[in-house]
Amino acid sequence: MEYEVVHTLLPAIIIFVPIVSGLLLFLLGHRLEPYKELICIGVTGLFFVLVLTMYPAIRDGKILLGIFQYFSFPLSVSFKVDQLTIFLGIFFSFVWFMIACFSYGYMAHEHKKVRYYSFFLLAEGGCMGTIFAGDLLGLFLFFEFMALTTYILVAHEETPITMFAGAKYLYMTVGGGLSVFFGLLITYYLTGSVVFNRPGLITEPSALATVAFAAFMVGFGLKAGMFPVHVWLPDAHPAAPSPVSSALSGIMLKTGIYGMIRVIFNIYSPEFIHNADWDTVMLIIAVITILLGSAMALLQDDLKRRLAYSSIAQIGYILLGVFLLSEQGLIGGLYHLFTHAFMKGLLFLCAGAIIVQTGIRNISQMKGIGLKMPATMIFFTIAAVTMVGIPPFNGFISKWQLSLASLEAGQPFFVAVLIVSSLLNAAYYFPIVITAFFASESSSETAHGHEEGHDEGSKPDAHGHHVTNNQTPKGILREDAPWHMLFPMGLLAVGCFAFALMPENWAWNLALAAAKSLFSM
Amino acid sequence: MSESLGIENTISSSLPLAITLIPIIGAAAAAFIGRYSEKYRDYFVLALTALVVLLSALLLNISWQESVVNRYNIGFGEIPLYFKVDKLGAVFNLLSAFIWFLATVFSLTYMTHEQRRTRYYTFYLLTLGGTLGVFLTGDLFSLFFFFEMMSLASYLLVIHNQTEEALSAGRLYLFLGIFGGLCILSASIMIYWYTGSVIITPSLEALVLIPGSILVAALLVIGFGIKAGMVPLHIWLPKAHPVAPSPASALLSGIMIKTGAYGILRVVTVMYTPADHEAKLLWSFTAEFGYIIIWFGILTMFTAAFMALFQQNAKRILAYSSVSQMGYILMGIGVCAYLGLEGPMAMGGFSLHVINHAFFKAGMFMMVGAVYFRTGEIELKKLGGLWREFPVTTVVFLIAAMGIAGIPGLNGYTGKVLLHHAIVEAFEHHHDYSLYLAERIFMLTGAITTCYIARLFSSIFLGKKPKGLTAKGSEPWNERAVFITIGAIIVFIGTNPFFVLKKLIGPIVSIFPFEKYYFNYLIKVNFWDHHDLQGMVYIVAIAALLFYVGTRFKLFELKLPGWLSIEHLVYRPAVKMFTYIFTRSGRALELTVDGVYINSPRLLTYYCITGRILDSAADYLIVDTLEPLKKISYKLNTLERGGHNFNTLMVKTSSLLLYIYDLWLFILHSAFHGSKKFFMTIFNFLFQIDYKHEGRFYVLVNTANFEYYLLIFFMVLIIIMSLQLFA
Repeated sequence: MEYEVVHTLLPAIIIFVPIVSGLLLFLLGHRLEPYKELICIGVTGLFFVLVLTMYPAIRDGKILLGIFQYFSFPLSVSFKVDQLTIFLGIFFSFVWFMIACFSYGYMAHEHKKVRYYSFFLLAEGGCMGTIFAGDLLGLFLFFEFMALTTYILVAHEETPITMFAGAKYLYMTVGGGLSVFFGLLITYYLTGSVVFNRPGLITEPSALATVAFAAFMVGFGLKAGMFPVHVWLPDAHPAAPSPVSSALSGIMLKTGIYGMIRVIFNIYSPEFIHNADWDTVMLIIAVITILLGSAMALLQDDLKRRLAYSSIAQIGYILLGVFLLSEQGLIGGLYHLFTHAFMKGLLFLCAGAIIVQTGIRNISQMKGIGLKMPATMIFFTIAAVTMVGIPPFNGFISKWQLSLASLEAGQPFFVAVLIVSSLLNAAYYFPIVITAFFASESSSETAHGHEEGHDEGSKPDAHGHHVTNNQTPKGILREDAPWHMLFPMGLLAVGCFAFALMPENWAWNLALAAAKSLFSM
Repeated sequence: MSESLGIENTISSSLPLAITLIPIIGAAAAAFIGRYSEKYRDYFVLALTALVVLLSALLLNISWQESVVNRYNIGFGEIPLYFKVDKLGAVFNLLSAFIWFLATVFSLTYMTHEQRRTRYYTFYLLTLGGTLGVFLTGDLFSLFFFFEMMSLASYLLVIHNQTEEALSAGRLYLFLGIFGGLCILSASIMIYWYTGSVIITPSLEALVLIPGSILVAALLVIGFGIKAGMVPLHIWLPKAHPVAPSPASALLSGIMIKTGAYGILRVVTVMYTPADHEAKLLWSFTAEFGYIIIWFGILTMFTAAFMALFQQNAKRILAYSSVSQMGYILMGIGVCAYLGLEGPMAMGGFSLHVINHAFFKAGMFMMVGAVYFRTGEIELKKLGGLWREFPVTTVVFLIAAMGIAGIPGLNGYTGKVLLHHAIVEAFEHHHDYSLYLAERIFMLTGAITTCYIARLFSSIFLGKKPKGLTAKGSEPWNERAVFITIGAIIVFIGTNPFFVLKKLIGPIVSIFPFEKYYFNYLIKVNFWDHHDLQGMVYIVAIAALLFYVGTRFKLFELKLPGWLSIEHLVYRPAVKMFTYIFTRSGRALELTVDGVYINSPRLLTYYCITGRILDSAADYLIVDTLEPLKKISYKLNTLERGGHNFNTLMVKTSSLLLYIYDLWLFILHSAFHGSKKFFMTIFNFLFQIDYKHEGRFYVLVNTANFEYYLLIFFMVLIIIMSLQLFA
């Protein structure tokens, strides 16, 4: 399939919308102080709409490309929007938008809000720039930009624990950036170009090519939370404010995966990697990542830490799909990427809502919290069920697709890993839901009549008339998060299953087109 | 009728989708209505279940002529939801809907003493949708979809009371349900990938080619077997069924465990049969499969019946009884597969026994529930002599109990006769003596069943009333109506077996491609054969003996040691061991990796230490080389006492040099400092940056003196233009 290339500056302009507004917000912080939330929500929303405007062109088989020559530098920075980019761009910018909306409620009682919101926008710009970049240099620049701006967000609370987690994040991420830079240098040395190409740039096997591949995998894998380089993740997620953990886990980890996909398909080629047998190594790492994440998640009592380890396991799923190096596998991986962005983003937002409303972080303290915060916990349940992969939720579709891809590759072992991992998902998510809704603490009298938002304060008396029992509080939602926090959570929750119920699964089709474009270009 | 054996005509209809969707949407509606009015919610649920019964009857009517087929593409990637209703599915569907309706009527009064009624009704309807979906779907994938929905929704029914006991039973129920679902899912993924379709149709030719085809078959049987309560996968059932509210237990035992049996039936006797009837080799695969199922069935029926003897809780007896009866049903499936095309008798026995069991077991759970509702007691010891307070209940319970025991003239007898004929046939066709043993165990189980059910009946309704046992009020009308309906159906089937066989079982069996000869054999079976009646006499005699010995020596009150159960012997240690090893090794790995990173800065420290060592080494080296010089100067000093002037000169020269150096530094410093200040002043002057003392940065760029930019702009412009003049 041939794609028509359209030269336009649109992608570049779109990328600089959040970056410029983030900078302006930071510099003019004193003057713009009252409007900071509005600016953040507005810009992320605008960004989402702008990304959507590019969709029709991509759908018609075009590719948008904008090239900037770097002064007196042999490389250029280019921006490119193709099927893969638009797939990630649309969903990620939507999740960013939702998280920005949620931040309004979550950050209400936090300090240094201007700094938070401006760096939030900068991080979004960096993240989206990573995805919109048309060559390895641009990808690297935005990748580093995102990593460094995120540090400010991770260390936002400035407590000793946070600073430790932030430092761990910073040093490891700088190391990862250097690793990517190393790979970039070797690629340029070997081929004289770093522009994404298909078939790939490096076609000759050599020792340097191997080193470069390893460097890329370490650099991008570090961001993604791949097994031996994931250790920053379980510290950074609980330490960061919940919207930031949500963005980190839901979106920013995926930029690592995205980098890997670009490396596989546009720097090397799948055939090359398969011939060099690197995929076997990566598949083993993926399996270890899945099992390790699940094992550690089982042991955690801190909710956000458990979610963080669960993220590691889920990243293993995506790695598995990507490194099967087949179209089926890539579709599965990409779809799971989208699924995970929604459900894990939602789970962290739920955790954030719980922390804001009750201050509870540990699962063992969450007895009966489902009665106090019914809507939040229902969203949590939806996301948990998605995570386990029960139809009709999205997680089921990606699991199904990944399993088929494993069978296609002649590896039924991976199916077993996926199934066992689903069972483990159930083992560490359902107890939270059960504790929240049905734990024995709820047997107290006040909590009795109330379940999942249905007020049963009215009980029929002897004559069958209905009397409202005034002793039970009428507004059961009072302790739940305010509507402006519930709204983004609700939208994400709907996203967890709405696509699967529609006759045409739009997300699925986008993932399909993305995978097809990578394999045919 | 027999002309069209195995040949099907299909018709497209939206009824199956409607039947599954109405309860699901209704669940949301019930939750909504329940917020405002309890009364209207109850009426709504009642009307909804009645509507579902009507629609199911309509569907049965349609499917009696032709199979109903429909597909709905709902965006699951490549696989649509696929509904296919044949006569078997339609009958089971109507049966489920009807029992659900009866349970709803019963719930009207029963649920008034329970909390959280709205939640109950919401998930009650959701479970209904899932359960009906299982019977209406035509491929494994859609079956799995509804199966999971049913499992998850019914979890809320099991844990309804939220006591510690209910929660732990529910946990077991939930995780085994999910485990079973995942087994089915992985098997259907394998089947889909290797055969390209998951439609339930004879396809053994393709299925045996799957690598690990035995494993796939085993996964399917395990997945459905968990739900069916097949020993040794039954451990959740005796815990979960007693803790649920009685109408829910009635549905769990009466209908939901049948979905597991239904799944096994579809797998074993449909999917795992060859499409080509002449393929003898493949039939032997099916036969072996069936043989294994037979023995699982026998094991299930016997052990569970034996366990039921020793229970003290009325609902627990019924739960074990359900497991035992599922053994009969599974054995029917097994025999059907074992005999292949010659197995209509087993298929007939299976269908009839499912229907019978649904009525008497659902009825008994509700009747025990009614007793519990009015007396508050469920332990056998604390009950007794209640026949006066529960006249209708007692009569119907007696009918149902005799039904389950297999007394001729009641429905249980008819199903058991067919099943017994089937197992005898299985023995006679292949002369496998192990099946003769199976037949003996079948008969013995019948005796044990009679014994425990007699014990249950007598200890609740007969005998002396214990002290403190009071029954509030009288039997409500709705309970009476439900019980009388159930009793009437039990008696009707029992007294008109030939009618039921011709009109109901015959058509159901006819959809399977059995050989006509054996089909006619089923149709012409004589229920009142003296062999069967004689067998029943023996059974009752043995049961009476057992009952006498048991009550005389108080054997039934023996408490079986808890550690002896398969749960404590196998499952718990296995799960514990797995979790332990898995989490420990995971943590060890994680800590190692983390430790490496955390300790890596130590490398930097080592680097620094090395540097310092090198530095001091170099220092020593230099000092050591200077040492001779020092010694020389010392010697010079000591030699020349008059060298004082020389020293003074050296000191003065060095201080002068130091002074010059200081001066130079001062000049440099002031030059830099001054210039910095100067430039800052100019910069500030030019750019008009407001310095905020309380802020950290020059945060506010004042753009008011815009003309300055204009000036720069013009100057640049002038320079460029003037450059152009020279060019």
